[in-house]
Amino acid sequence: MSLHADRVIYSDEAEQARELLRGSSKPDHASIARRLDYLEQRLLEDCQAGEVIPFPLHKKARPLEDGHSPLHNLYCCDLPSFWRLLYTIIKDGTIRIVYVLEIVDHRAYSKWFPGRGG
Amino acid sequence: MTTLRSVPRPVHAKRGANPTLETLEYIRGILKRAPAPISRNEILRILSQAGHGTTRQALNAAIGFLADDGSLVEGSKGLQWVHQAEGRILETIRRKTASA
Repeated sequence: MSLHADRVIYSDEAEQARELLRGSSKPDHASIARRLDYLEQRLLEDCQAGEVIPFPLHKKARPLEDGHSPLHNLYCCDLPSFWRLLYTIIKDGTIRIVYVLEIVDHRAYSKWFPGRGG
Repeated sequence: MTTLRSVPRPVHAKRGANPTLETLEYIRGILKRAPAPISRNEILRILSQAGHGTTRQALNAAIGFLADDGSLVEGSKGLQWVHQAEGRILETIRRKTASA
């Protein structure tokens, strides 16, 4: 009996960010893209590889919550160059899914979670 | 009308690991209410403190039963209750799964 996630699915915003990073010629973006590929496999093995972001979220994270509501759990993975990957664990029927909400740089992340991590 | 020739064997319950319905409901309640991933030891501790202690084998059977419909994940941080996707997230999942 496996209690791992079955799939990793990206939101439209996260997919867009991933495509942007993959298509970019900047070396740090390439590094982030490589890390994303690694994380996709890692999250299938351990869906709690990220850091838990406790609820209730900071009021500044309301746009994040509203854009992807309803959220019941939230995790954050560090990426190179202070980028962050935010995901939640949900299910569709019996299939457990790691749903990547956003892939953002430090500036966007710190707008939602001020004072949280460097 | 078809009839069953024999009773289907339980998948999770066995001798020594046969939690009561009450225990199942307590465990499910703990998992649903936990604000963060929770370990099996912590669940046993909470049950014990509340006077509803159970064995590890029974807990494992209960977790197996509750996880059958995808409602639980376990990772490096412990057990986490998993909610059914709704709204925009569900739309996106269905769209991406259909196009894959």
